[in-house]
Formats: sequence, structure tokens, C-alpha cells
Amino acid sequence: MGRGLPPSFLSAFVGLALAVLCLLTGTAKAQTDGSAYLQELVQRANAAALYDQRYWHLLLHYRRTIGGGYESEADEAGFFLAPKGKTDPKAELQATLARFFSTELVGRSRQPARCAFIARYHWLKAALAIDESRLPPEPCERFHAWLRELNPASITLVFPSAYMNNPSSMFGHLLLRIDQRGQTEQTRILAYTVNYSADVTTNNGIVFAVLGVAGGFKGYFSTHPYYVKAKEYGDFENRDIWEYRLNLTEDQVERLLMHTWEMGNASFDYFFFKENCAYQILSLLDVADPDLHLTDRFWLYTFPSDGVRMIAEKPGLVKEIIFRPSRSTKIRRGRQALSGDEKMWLGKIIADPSLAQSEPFTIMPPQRQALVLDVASDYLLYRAATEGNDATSYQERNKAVLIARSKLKVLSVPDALTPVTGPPEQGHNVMRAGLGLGWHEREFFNELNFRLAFHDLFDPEYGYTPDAQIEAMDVALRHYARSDHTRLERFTLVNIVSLSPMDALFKSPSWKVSTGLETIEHNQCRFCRIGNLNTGIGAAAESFWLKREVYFGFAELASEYGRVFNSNYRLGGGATLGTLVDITERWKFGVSGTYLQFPLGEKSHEWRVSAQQRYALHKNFAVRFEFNQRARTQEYLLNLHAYF
Amino acid sequence: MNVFAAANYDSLSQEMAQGGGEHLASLAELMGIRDENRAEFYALAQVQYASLVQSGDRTPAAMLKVLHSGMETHPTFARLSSN
Repeated sequence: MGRGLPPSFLSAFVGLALAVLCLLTGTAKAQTDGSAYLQELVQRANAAALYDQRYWHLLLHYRRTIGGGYESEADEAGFFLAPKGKTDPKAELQATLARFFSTELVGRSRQPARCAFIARYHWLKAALAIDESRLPPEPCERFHAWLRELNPASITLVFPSAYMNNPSSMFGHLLLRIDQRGQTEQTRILAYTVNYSADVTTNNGIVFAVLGVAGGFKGYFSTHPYYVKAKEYGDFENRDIWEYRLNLTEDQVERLLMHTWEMGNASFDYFFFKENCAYQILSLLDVADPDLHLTDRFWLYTFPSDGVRMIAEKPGLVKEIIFRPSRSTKIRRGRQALSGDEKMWLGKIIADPSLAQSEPFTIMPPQRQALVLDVASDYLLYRAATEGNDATSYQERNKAVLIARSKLKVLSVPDALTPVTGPPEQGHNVMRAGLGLGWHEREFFNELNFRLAFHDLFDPEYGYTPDAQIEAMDVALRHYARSDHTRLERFTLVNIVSLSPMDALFKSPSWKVSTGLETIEHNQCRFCRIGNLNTGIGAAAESFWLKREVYFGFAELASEYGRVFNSNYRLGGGATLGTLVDITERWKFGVSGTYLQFPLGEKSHEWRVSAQQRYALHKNFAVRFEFNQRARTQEYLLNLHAYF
Repeated sequence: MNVFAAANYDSLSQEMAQGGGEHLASLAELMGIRDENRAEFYALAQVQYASLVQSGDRTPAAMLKVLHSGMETHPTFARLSSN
């Protein structure tokens, strides 16, 4: 609301010319007119119950509370114009209308309300047919300059795939790209992105996990050029990126951007599983097109791949899907395209780039030389980016490789590479339930199992990052027929395995960690519940004899707790060796053996052998047959898994 | 343009040596080089890569300078800039 002029100001200018008086009366008249018009707008808004409309709730991020009221997910006071705006859609709408009559600066972005909350203004203006000439003039120059800089034509949903070495990226990420008018395939890196991320205030992994799950970080929206993000994901974190070009109308794009602008005044408590990047990015798309109903369906968690799946399911929404390989994928694929001889040259040139300009190499066809040098340069850049210490040596070698490359007047092969896995929306759904039948020590049993998330090494792999397993909250109930009893057989809190096949160029370690409850037979106790914590570090390799085979070995630490053990626990270590074989696209076989020695607590040792095979019937159905031996206990289990 | 060159120095050097790529194309876009002259610009960038290394200057400013000096003596671009 206009505040008029302070009395002292008026008294100091009492003797001034009529023109000033006229101006003052003019202002006063405008105010009277303004407050009458405001009242009229508020009445009309109340009569139409605009505060109850879904679009208002989308704009303010209101959700229904259990008590039947509303609460906004936004957690910054400046995002609301009414004191009780976070929980009162009606008061917020009235306060918003009132602020349209004021030029006072509001929100974190310090702008007049009409500009700071420009999507609200546009919606209310249309809904109430607001006569702009009766409001104080407000050009919103900052917003329009921003819009000109973005030069928007359309929107692309960007999915950087999972990155196992950072807990916040294990499930992938989602962001939007604002594609520019006249943009080409090559200049798309100049477009801006809309990103939502947590402002992480700790380096401690455990603190991070606790705060991340409990909403202890603030989440903010930000815009950066795509070249910054593509470099971060593709060159530093080596994550492949999937891009989904969306079919949105010009109006929808404009609405999305106006709301993005408003988000400059908002922050949210970041919840790792629900109110995360995927959820917030989808909420922007809901504002662009409320008929999408993307954020309605979320209950407990939102994974970025779920977001992609929902977008892909909407008929006609996705125009085109584009794969953007990470630098390490380019290197792997590039190397696979080389002959044995060329691979040998690749290794030699990486070690000593001066060979690239010497006789035996230079008599090869220029196109083949370019192929070798391009992979060599990518590899040296990869090492320079991932290894802080020795970066200069790699950069110097890269320079020498590129000097040789610049003398070859041939074009590089474009990056149209085959992805290592399918697009994320074609992967299985993340929840899993299973119905099993088994044979355990001369006794039949039935099993019911349920896993909240996400993927294990034997689930259908298409659409998921290969060799990466993340399981959380996996429960199995069993009914044993002969002894006629039902028990909680297994509860896995978390079970993560990251296998990184090594080759001549890549030497990352593999690792695993798991913890939960399980049932074992031990010391004359037939069904004994124990708690376990196991972690290991190792190495993996791959071959392509059948379809693909992975071999792995781990050195590991194991601890087990339970009354069955003398002194209630045992602590030790050992080793696991195993292999996973993709026989066909659908059929996978794996076998592994573990030996553990427990020198602490109950002194003991144990052999474990496991063999499994899976046949995928459909992306969301699979059968699995497994054999497990632990000490002298043997069991067979046939499971039918459904993903939903 | 300077910001872009600074943020993408490694990729730009690589693509200069290769005579093409999305970063080089985007730089050409920012420099306002017309579509019909892009191929010549990429070829010029490839030739100029050696001068960039010889200059021993690893700054984005040096990279842009090397490109501009190459353009000044190039028949197509010299004519365009003198018009």
C-alpha cells in the first residue's frame, strides 16, 4: 500500500507552488481510487474462490495437510506476502493483490511484488481481468532483460545418470534446459539451465546423510549455462546425460519461466528422498502445464528416473530423446573402435606423445591417426580433470598430442555413440515385490519379499547404470512348512555394490557396503537372527565372450552381532571372488564364493557360495533362481519379481 | 565470450586442434561468425592451434587473441572485418 508522504516533508514545502499541491492531491486521489479498486478485486477474488484453485496452490507450492488445511513447501518468509501466507492461501491471495498497488520492494530478489511474483500477477490479472492502468506503472525491467538473455524457445528435461561416488548423485539428477531460439545441436551448450540443489554445508558423509534425509539443508534454484553443467557432469563426474526435448507451447514456456523467476525468492528444506531435485523440477513443469499432474502422485520418495518415466509416459510430451556421452564413455567407445594395433599405439602415445609425430605412426591413414589421437587427448584430459596432483603432466602430454592432431586435416567422428544402457524411462520401476518358493535343509518354505528401492545386480539392467547396485529397505518373510512357522527372514537396510571394470586405461576400485538383519543356522540354533555390517574394496574386469561378463574380487571386513555367538558377536575379514555373465539380453547368471575368518568375538570361519540366475520376462517382471550355501546350510529359492 | 572461453578452455583447445566441435561452434556463434564462414573458421582455428601452444600463454585471452590475429590475415575474415 502507498504510504503517502511524511508530515515533516509536507510542512517543509508548505509554501511551494500549486503544481506540487496538484501533484499531491493527484496522488491522494490515486490512492483512494486504488484502495477502492483493491477492495473490488479482493471481493471478486473471494467470490470466485480463487484461493481454492489448484493453480494458486501450484504457484505457492501448497500441499494439503493431514488436518485438512494447507501448508506451503516453501520455507522462506519472503516468498509469502501475508504473515500467515505459508498456511493460509486466502490471506496470501489478498495480501498479494494489495501489494500489486505498491512499489515497495519485496522478497529476496528485492523487486516490487508485481515483478518479484510475476507468475502470480499474470494469473491473477487474467483471472480477475485486472485493469493495469489502475495500478502503479511497473515495467519489470529486470525480468524482461533476463528473458531477453534467455531467448527462450522450448524446454528440455536433462537427466545426468547415476554417479556412484557421490551419495547425493547415486540416483541421478534432473534439471531443465531453456533452449534458445535458433539454437543448433552444437550451440545448445550456450543455453541456460534451471537447476535445483541443496546448499550442502558439510563435508562429513554421515552428517550429510542424516541432514539430507531429515531436510537439514536449504535447497535453492539457480540458472547456469548448460556448458557449465555439461562439463561438471560429463567431464568431471563422467556421467552420461539423457536429454528429453519437451513439446510445450509458447505460453507454457513463458509460465514456466515466470515461475522460475519467482523461485529466486524461495528456498525449500531439501529432503533427499522426497522434496529433492526431481520433485522441484517437476513442480515447475506442473506450473507450465497444470494438466500434467506430475507432483500429485508422489508419496514417499521421488527418484529422478521416476520423474523421467512420468514425463515419457505423457503422450506427445517428449519430442526427441538425445544421448550425450560422458568423457569416459567417449574414451571407452573410442577405444573399442580401434584395432589391436591402434590400441597399442594409443597406449604408447599416452605414455610418450612424441611418438605421434614419428614415422611408423604417421604412415597410418590420417583418419585412423585422428581416431587414436582423439581418444588419447580425451583420456589425458580425463586424467587431468580427475587427478588433482599430477594434472600438469597430463596437460603437457595432451598439448603434444593435440599439436600432432592439428596437423591432420581430417574431421573427428561425431559423438553419435551407442549408450552403455537404455534410456532411464525404459528401466524397471523402483519398488519390487516377490513371491518365492524354496527348499531349506529338507524343508519347503514360501517367501514374500518387498524392496522399497532401487536396483540390484540381478534386476533387469536396461535403463540402469550397469554394475551399480543400490538396495534400500528390503524385507523378506518366510513360512516354513514342516516346522509350520513364519518369520522375518531378512531385512536389508542398505546394500550397495559398485563394480568398476578395469582396463588398460581405467583403474577405479570397486567397493561395497551393506547392513541389515538376516537369519542363519549356527551353534545348534536352527533359525537365528543376527545383525551384520559388511564392507569391501576390490577390483573388477570385463570381457565380451557371450554378451558381457564381469569378474570381481573383494577384500572385505565383516561384523555380525547376535546372541547365537559366544560373546554375542564376531568380527573378521576375508575375500569374495565372483563373476556375472549376461548370457543374453534377458538372461543373466552369476556365481560367487566368500571365505571369512573371524578372529574377534566368537573365533570362527565360514565359507559361503551363491549362484543365481535371472530371466527377465518383461521390463517389470523377472524370475530368479538361486542357490545359497552358508557353512553347511543349503537352500534353493525360486522367486517371481514384479516391479512397480 | 571471455567467460565462455575461460570456462571451456580445455575443450576449446582440443576442438581447435581437431578443427571442429560443439565448443568451437558455440564460440563462433558468440563471435558472430556467419554460417557460411564457419568451415573456414574451424580450419583457421586448427592452423592457429600451433601458435597458441608456441605462445606459451595458457589464458583464454591468449586463445582469443590467437584466433583474432589469424582472422586478420585470413582473406575471408579480413575482408569481412574491413567492410
